[in-house]
Amino acid sequence: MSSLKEFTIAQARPLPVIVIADTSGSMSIDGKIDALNQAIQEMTKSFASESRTRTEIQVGLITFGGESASLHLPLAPAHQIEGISALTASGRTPMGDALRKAKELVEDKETISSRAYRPVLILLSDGLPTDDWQDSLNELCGSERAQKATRFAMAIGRDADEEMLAQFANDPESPVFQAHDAKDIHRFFRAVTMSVTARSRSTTPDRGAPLALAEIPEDDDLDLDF
Amino acid sequence: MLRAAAASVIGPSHKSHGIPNQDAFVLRGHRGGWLLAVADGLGSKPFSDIGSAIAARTAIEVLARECSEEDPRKQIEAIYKLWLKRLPVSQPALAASTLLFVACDSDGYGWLAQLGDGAALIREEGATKTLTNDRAGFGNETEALGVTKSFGAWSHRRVALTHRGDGVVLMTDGVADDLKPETLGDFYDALLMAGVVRNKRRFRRWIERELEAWTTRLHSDDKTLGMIFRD
Repeated sequence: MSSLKEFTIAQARPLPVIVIADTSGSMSIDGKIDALNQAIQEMTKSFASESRTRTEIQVGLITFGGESASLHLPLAPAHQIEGISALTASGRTPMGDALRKAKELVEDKETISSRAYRPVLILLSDGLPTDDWQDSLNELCGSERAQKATRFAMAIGRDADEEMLAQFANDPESPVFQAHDAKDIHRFFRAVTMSVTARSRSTTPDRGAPLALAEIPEDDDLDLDF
Repeated sequence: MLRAAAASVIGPSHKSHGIPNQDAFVLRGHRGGWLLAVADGLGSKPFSDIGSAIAARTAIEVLARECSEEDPRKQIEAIYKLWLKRLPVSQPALAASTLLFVACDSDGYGWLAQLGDGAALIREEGATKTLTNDRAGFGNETEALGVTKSFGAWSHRRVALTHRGDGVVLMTDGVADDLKPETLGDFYDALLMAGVVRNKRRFRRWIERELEAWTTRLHSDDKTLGMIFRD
């Protein structure tokens, strides 16, 4: 029986994972938004089922489609997330607004305390931003806390602004991932899941783990010879 | 009179991986006063357990030779230089370690210093405060011996443990990061009450049991806590 229980924080140290997802109209084409919905659900379920971790993996989701970005899923422990309402794709690509919201979220010490491990930010987009994104990106990359986050990026299709996404990604071992189809979206999120769970299981969760995309097969077929 | 005790336990994560305790402490009586140093080797470094052990030992040796709060820079520099000299590795970063120490004489006058995370909790004339502010970044981001040469990275101040109940608690981040900031005063009181009614050996065992029974979910870090107090 601990005499000091009342003075200690009950919750585990969190490892926040924040997805910044493009939900502009073009994401409705070629099954991209459906693949994204499924991939985020699977990732969250995987995090929720992680019982061997040293951390509490949290998931948050910021979407940008239409006129402004919105916090689709406030940051919450994965094991407490009962469901994520399906994303729908429509309108323009206000990525700058999404980056601003992501920065505000990471800088908010009430939401992400100083005992949290460095967050993971994941940006994915299939098109060119339609708002002023450069200032927002500069602010995010230069802010006190957000600059320390591990940032992964995925360019979906040929129309994505790869140059911009490359400015966002900050892990030299994990350059912008090029997704050509819906299957690649799943591959990317499986690699993100592996990276985050590797961190959460390690004795040093503060250290980033690169995306091991080479270890993720091109498709999800079983290894059967026919 | 001034009394003291300290203890350290290996975190569950290190236990399960067979990793040695990367925290270290040295507590020594000195001319009627006390010297206490607590260090936390950076978990990502291969010789962090060695770095922290040498840091705590070296701090106490230097402070025992010349314990004066008149020139903190000189004393910190002396500790740092000797730590570097004693390291068995050529790259200090491989043995990086935080360091917190307090030195006080038999009247309770002295000083304390901190480099890196963890916390120094101070009770003077009934008021409880910490030596440093809440960290700006995230967990396990810290300055350390072997990482920074900047004197500005250190926090230090004088201390006067002259009233009954006054004291200093030094903790590594395995303890400090899991404490509710709003109950630090009550936390100090709980430690003080436990210390007042026990002798040094029994108080050390009490601290050990409390650190072993830590209740934060999925806690994994090594934990070290030392306390000097006036009863």
